[in-house]
Amino acid sequence: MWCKVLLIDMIKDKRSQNRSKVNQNSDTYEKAFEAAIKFSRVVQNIKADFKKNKLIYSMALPVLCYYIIFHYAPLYGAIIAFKEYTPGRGIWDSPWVGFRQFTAFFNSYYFARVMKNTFLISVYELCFGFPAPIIFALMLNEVKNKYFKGTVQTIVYLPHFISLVVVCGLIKAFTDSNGIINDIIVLFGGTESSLLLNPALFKPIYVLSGVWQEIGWGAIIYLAALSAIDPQLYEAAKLDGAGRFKQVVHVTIPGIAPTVVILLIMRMGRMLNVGFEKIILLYNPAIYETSEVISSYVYKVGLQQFNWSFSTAVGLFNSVINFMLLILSNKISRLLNDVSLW
Amino acid sequence: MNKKRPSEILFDGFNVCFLVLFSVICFYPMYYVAVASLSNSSMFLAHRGLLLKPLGFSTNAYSMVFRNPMIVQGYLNTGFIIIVGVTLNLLMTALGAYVLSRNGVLLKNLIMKIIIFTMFFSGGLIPTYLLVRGIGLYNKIWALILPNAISTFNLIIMRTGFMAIPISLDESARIDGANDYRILFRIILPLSMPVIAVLLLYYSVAHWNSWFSAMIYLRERSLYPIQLILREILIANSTEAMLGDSSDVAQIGETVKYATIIVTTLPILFVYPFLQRHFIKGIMIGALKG
Amino acid sequence: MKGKIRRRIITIVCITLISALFVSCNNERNGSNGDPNKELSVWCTLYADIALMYFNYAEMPLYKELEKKTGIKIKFQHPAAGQQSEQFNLLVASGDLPDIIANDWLGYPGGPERAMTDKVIIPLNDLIENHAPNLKKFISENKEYDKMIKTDSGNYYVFPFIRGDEFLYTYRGIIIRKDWLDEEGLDIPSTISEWHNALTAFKKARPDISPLTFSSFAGAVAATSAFLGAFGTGDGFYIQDGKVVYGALEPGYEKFVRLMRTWYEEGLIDKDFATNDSNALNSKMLSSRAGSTIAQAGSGLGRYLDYAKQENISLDFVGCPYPVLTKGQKPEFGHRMSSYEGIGSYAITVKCADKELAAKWCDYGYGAEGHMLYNFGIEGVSYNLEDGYPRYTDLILKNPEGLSVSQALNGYARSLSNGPFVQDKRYFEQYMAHEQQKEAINRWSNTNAAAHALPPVTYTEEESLKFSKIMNDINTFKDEMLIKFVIGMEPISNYSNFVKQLHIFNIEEAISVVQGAVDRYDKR
Repeated sequence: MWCKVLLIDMIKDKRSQNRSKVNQNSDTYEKAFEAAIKFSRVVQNIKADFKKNKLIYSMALPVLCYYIIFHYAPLYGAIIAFKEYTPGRGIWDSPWVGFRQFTAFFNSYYFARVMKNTFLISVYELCFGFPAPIIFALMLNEVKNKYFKGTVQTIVYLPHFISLVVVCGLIKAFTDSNGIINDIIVLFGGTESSLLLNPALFKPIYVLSGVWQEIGWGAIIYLAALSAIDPQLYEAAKLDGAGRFKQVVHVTIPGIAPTVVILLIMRMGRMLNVGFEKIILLYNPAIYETSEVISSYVYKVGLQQFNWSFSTAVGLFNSVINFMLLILSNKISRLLNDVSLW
Repeated sequence: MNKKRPSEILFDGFNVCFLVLFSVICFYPMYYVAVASLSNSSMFLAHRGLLLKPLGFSTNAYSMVFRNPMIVQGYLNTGFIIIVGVTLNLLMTALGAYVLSRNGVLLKNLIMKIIIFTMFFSGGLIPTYLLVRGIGLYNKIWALILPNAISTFNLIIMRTGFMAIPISLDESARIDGANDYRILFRIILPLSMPVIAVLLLYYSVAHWNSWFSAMIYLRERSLYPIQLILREILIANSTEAMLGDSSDVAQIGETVKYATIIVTTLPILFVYPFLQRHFIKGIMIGALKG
Repeated sequence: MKGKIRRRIITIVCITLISALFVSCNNERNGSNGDPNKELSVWCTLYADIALMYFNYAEMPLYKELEKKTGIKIKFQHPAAGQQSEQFNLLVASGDLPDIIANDWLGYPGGPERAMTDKVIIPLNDLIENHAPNLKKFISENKEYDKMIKTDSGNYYVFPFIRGDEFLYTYRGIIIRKDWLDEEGLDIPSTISEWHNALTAFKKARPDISPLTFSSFAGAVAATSAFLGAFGTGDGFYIQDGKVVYGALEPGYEKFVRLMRTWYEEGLIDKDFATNDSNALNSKMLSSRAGSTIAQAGSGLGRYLDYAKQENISLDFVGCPYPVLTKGQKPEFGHRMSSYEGIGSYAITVKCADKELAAKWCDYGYGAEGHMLYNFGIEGVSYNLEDGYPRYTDLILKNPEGLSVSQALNGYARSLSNGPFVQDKRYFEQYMAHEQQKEAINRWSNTNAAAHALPPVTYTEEESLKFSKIMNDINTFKDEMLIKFVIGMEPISNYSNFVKQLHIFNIEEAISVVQGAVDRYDKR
C-alpha cells in the first residue's frame, strides 16, 4: 500500500514543481504518471485477483488450453482469404492477392441478390423461427397431464432427426402441382400450380418447414428453463389471486427471460449463416432470384475449382458482420435488461 | 384446486387440440420413413405423395442394411465416442461455465471474449487438419473427441443456467469452508439438473450426428461412426441430384435408404424420453431438500 | 436401488465398448502385417454400392485374385463417398501421399501438368516405356488414346480408365411409352413435328398426364442436346466446323427455347419439370403420369422395364432417335461420352518408393488376364467362357441373395464403375438385359455427336482461373433464364438481352480459352 501513497505524493510534488512550465508539457507528464498508476493498479489487482481466485483460474486453465490449441493455433489459415490458395503450394507459399477475393465477391453479378436473400431469410427465421419454440414450450407448460405432455414432447422433436434429404423430398412432393397442398388449394377454389416454381413462395416454404422441423428440438432448452422455475413463485402468485394468464405473464415469462435473451443474442450472431444444404435440395433455376444465398452461391462457385480462397474470404466477410451484430445486440441487451454475454 | 374459469377451459381445449394436431404433423415424416422402409421397393418407386401404410410388405431393405458389415462396428464406435466424449464435454463445459458465471473474477470478461471470438473466426479446414495430424490424433478415434471437447454455444447455455442459481447458496457454502471445486460439484451441478440434461442431450446428439470430422480424420473404415456410414448411403443418391450424373450406375434402392435411416436413428430417439423426467417441474426444489 | 442398477448397466456398456475397441485395434494391427517390399498404398473411392458389402476393396474377391496374380499387396485408403474432392485436397495439402492416387486428374486445379509441378504426381513416360508393357502396347496400337493421357508438353500422367467401345459411349436419350404410341397408331417419333403430334395425342387421350417430363432440365439438355440438336445447335462448348462455339449464342438455341415455350403453353411439358428430382421422375414414369422423358439406359429405362416385368403390368418404353427437323436426317447432336474422361484414373505419386512396382500393378489391367478380371471378375464364379464369350453367371444376373444386378456385379468386377483397365463392351451387353435397352442405345448413338465433342483438353492455371470465374456466373445465369423462358416468367422477346448479358459476362474470353486448349491438344 505504501508505495501507492508514495507515488501519489510524487505526482503532487511534480505538479507543483511543473506548474510554472508550459501547459502542454505538464499535461503529458500528468498523463504519463496517471497511466503509470493505472498500470500498477491493474497489475496489483490482477495479482490480488489471482491469489483470491486461484482455484477458479485453475479451472479456467484446461478450458483456455482447449481454445488456444484447437481454435487459436489453426487461425493462421484464415490468411488464405488474402491469397490464391492451391493445395499443391500450401498455405504459406500460395501467392498473396490482397483483397482480390473480396472484391470478386462484392463485384459479382449476384452479390446484391445473394445478400438480400440471405438477409431476408435470416430475418424471417428470426421473426418466426425464434419465437415458435418459446410459444410451443409455454403452451406445453400449460398442459397438466404428465403423460400427454411427455408424449407430445417426444413426438414433436422427431423431425429434427430426419435427414434433410428426406425432409426436402417430402416438401417437394407436397408442394408439386399434384401435391397435397395443391389439393387443399383446389378444394377452396384455387388453381393448382407448382409452388416451388413461384419465386414469391420459396422463402415462406423454406422458413415454415424449418420451424416445423426444429420447433420441438428448439423447445427443449426452454422446457428446461421452465422446469427450473421455483414452484413457490406460482404458489405466491396464486395467493395473490393471479389467474393462469397472469401467472404466465408474471412468473413464467420472467423465469425464462434470461435464457431467451441469451439465445436471442447468440442468434443475432448467426444472422447470415443460412446453410446451403437445404437450399440446394429445394431450389431450382426458376427461383434462383429469391432462393440463392451466400452459402449456396459459394458452394456452387467453390465446387467447380476447389476455390478455397474465395470461400474463405466470403466466410470471413460473413463472420465479421455476424461478430459486429453480436457485439451490437449484446450492448443493447446490457443497456435494456442487464443480461449480457460479457 | 381453484375452480377453472370458462376462458381457461376454452384455452385448455384449444391448447390440447393444437398440440395433438401439431404432433400428428410432426410424427408423419418419421412414420413415412418407417412405412417406406417396410415397403416393396419397386412399388415404392412408383409412389408419390402421402403414404399411410406400407406398399406391399417387405423386410428386404432391412436384410440389405444388416448385410452391410459396418453397421455393428459403426454402432460400437459411436457408442464409445458418445460415452467418452460426452463425459469430457460435460466436465469441460461445467468448468468453463463455472468460471464464467462467478462474480468478482477479474479476467472473466476477457476469457469470455476469447471464447466468443472463436465462434466466428476459424482457420478453416486445412490448418485444423494439419494441427490434428501434428498432435498425433490422425486416424484415431480421439480425433473426434478432443477437438470437440467444448461447444461454445453449450458453454453459454450452461453458464446461463448456473447464473440462475441464487448466489446466496454458494456464499453460505463458502462460509462453511467449501472451496470452488466443492461448490461446483456438490452444489451448483446438482441444482442444475435440467440444464445438464439438456446439454447431455445436445452433446450426445451432436456426437451421434457428426460425420464430418470422422470423414476428415479417419482413414481406417473400421473406425467409422454410424452416421458416416448412413451418410455414404444417403448421399450416394443425392449427390447425383446435386452434381448432375455422369454415369449410369444404378442407385441404391430407396427403401434401403429409409431402412438405414431407421436403423441409425432409432437409438438416439430413446435418449430424450429417458432425460425427459429431468424437465419436470419442481426438480430443483427436490434437489434442494435432498 | 434404481441408481445401482443403472450404474451397473452403464459399467457393463462401457466395458463392452472398450473391449470392442480393443478388438478393432488388434484387428488393425494384424492387418498391416505382410511383406513390406511388396506392398503399395492406393487411395481410391469406394463406391457406395460396394460399401454396402465390403469395408475395403481388399476384401473384394477381385482384388484378392489380383494380389495372387501380381504378388503385390495393396492397402487401400478410401475417402468417404461424396466428399472425395475435399479429402483429396487435404491429402495434397498435408503432403502425406499414398503410392497411387485414383482421381480425376483433368479436374486438378491447373490441370495434370500443374499436379506434376506441385510435386504430387510424377510423369510416367519412362515407367510406361520400360515397366508397363500392356499399356504401352495398347496406346501404341490406339494412337488416339496416346494423345488423351498426356499433357500438352508430352508427359504421360495416368493409367487411365478407358471405355473400350463406341457402344459404351452413349447411354442417355429420349424414351417414350411404346404402348401409348401403339394405341394411337403412331410410329416412334423422329422429327420435331412427329414429336408434337405424338405428345398432343397423348395429352388428348389422357388429359391428366404430362406427355413430356424432365428431371434437372438444364442438366439433361446439356448432356444430351435432345430437341435442341434438331436446330443444329448443341449445348455448352462444342466444335462446329473446326471452331469452338458456345451453344446459347447460336441462332438455333433461340428456336429451341421457343419450341419448349410453345409446348409448355400447350400443356405438353410437365408443370413440375423444373422441380422434379429423380425420385419424382421415376414415380411419374412408373405410375403412368408421364409419357416420355430423357433417361439413362440402365438406371432409367432398365429400371422401368424391370418394374413392369416384376409387377406384371403393361408398361412399355422404347428409346427414340434424337429428333431432327426433316425426316431421314441424321441427328447432329446427342449424348456421347468420350472414351477417356479423366475419372477413375490412377497416377503414381512422388512419395512412391517403388515406382516400378506401382507401374506393374497399374499396368496389369491392360493385359489379357487383367482385362477379364477387372471386367468380369473370376472365371467359374462370376463368369464362364461360352464359345469365347464371357457370360456372367447367375450369381451376378440372378443373385440368389436378392442383390440387384448392379450390386452383384459391383461386388465382383469393376466394369460398372472404373479402374485402370479398358472397359469391355460385353459387360454392357449383358448388363442391358432388355432388348429395348440395346435397341435404344443403337438409336441414341446414331448421331454425329462425335464430330462436335471436345477432346479431354487441359488448361493452364491462369486459364482455368479465368475460365471458372466467367463460367460460374454464366452457368447460373443460363440455367435460370432457360427455365424462365420456358415457363413464361421471362418473355422470349428478351432473348437478345440474354445473349447481350452473356457477352457482358465475357463469353468470348471463355471461348478463346477453350479454343486455345483445343489447339494445343490437336498439336500433341
